[in-house]
Amino acid sequence: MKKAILFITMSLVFNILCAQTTTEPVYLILTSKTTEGDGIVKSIGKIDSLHKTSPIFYHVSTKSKQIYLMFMHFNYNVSQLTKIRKVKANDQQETLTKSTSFLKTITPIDLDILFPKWTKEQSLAFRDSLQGKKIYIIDRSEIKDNQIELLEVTCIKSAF
Amino acid sequence: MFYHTLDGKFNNGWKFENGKVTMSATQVDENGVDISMGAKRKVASGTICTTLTQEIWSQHCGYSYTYIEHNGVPTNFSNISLNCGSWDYQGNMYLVVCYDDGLSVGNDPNNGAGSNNGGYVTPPTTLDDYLTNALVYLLSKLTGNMSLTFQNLLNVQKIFFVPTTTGTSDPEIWKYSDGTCQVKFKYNPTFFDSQTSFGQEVICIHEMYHIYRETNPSIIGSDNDIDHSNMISDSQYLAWLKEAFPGCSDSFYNDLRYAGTIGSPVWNSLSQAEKDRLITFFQTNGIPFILM
Repeated sequence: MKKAILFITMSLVFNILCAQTTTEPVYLILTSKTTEGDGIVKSIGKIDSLHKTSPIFYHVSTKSKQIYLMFMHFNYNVSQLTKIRKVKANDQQETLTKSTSFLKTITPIDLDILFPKWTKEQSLAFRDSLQGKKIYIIDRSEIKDNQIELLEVTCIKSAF
Repeated sequence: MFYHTLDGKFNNGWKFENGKVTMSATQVDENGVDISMGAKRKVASGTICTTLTQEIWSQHCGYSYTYIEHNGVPTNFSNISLNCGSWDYQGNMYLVVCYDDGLSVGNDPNNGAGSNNGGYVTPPTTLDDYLTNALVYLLSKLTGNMSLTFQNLLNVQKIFFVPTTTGTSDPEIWKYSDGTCQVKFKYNPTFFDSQTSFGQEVICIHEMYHIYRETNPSIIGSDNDIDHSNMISDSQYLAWLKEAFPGCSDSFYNDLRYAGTIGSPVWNSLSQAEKDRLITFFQTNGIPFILM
């Protein structure tokens, strides 16, 4: 009995701790273009033996408003990467494929609507709000056959 | 080669080239008497020595944060908040730094061949120690005129190491009417600690260039963005990088100049393809940049 109480107590403590530390992923939905310039631009890096899949970058920018956000996705071949440096948590970011019905189960942040309205300060506040959160990008231009792709990304902050 | 005392304090350091000591950093007391422990080595004849004085101040800080456990390993730290006490004066640290001016002829028979005799290496116990060592380490890696420039940089009255939760390393220089200056070397311990030793050295040399421009009276109009722009165009910064990290390709050094400039005008002026290429270069080589 004592063991059972202890187990229940430990489970409660564990659940409370988890509840305090787990954050829900943030889903950003957007429509990218591939030509360089203002707007939301997707670019794909070179693939080589270091990468399992090509690095992917999203540039969200308006030059006249000095708005510039950058998201990156890396999926390294860690056996090659360890020859250069230690592997870090964000070196193997995931790409998930889901049915479009998945969109009904989440509340994505629509950058197609938000981004054109931003001031520079609002864009920085948005960037800071992503601190410590797992971020997925859903690109409307990539939706095919009722399938969406969730691309795990990291937002790059600034200089030091 | 750096030696530390058992409590993790810097003791002395030596640079060997072709079996010859070409640079040394030795701890001395206020009278200039060598107080470093272990075997003494002699720098080759034809040396120039300078005594550096640093007032060491420290501040006790505590962090609170939340995190997610992944496979039992804490990760995704967030809600980091910092509470600091008052500054405490820890005393002065005196270093005699000597280097071979290149005019000596032949090998000095008193010099060893770079063995580890008489020394032991333990990791520094505090971040302040680590940063002090990182600065001295970079100094020891540089030779000739570059080393003299760095000695001038370090010869400021006070260097404060200021932990901060935001930003990374953003030095503030306080100049006084008597010509002296103080440097507040800000850093984010969580970010700094998560870097490789190479990444930490890149941060230090980047910040030292800011300090160099801020403290150089012949340079007018130094600010963060202007300094970043000069990192790309100034041949001196390129020479520092080459001296600090020898043996790399020209393209490596050229790309390394952009470390820490993300978001600055010089970075924003790059094409998106150039930004992509540099981010990949940083990410692959463990060159620090801040992620959300």
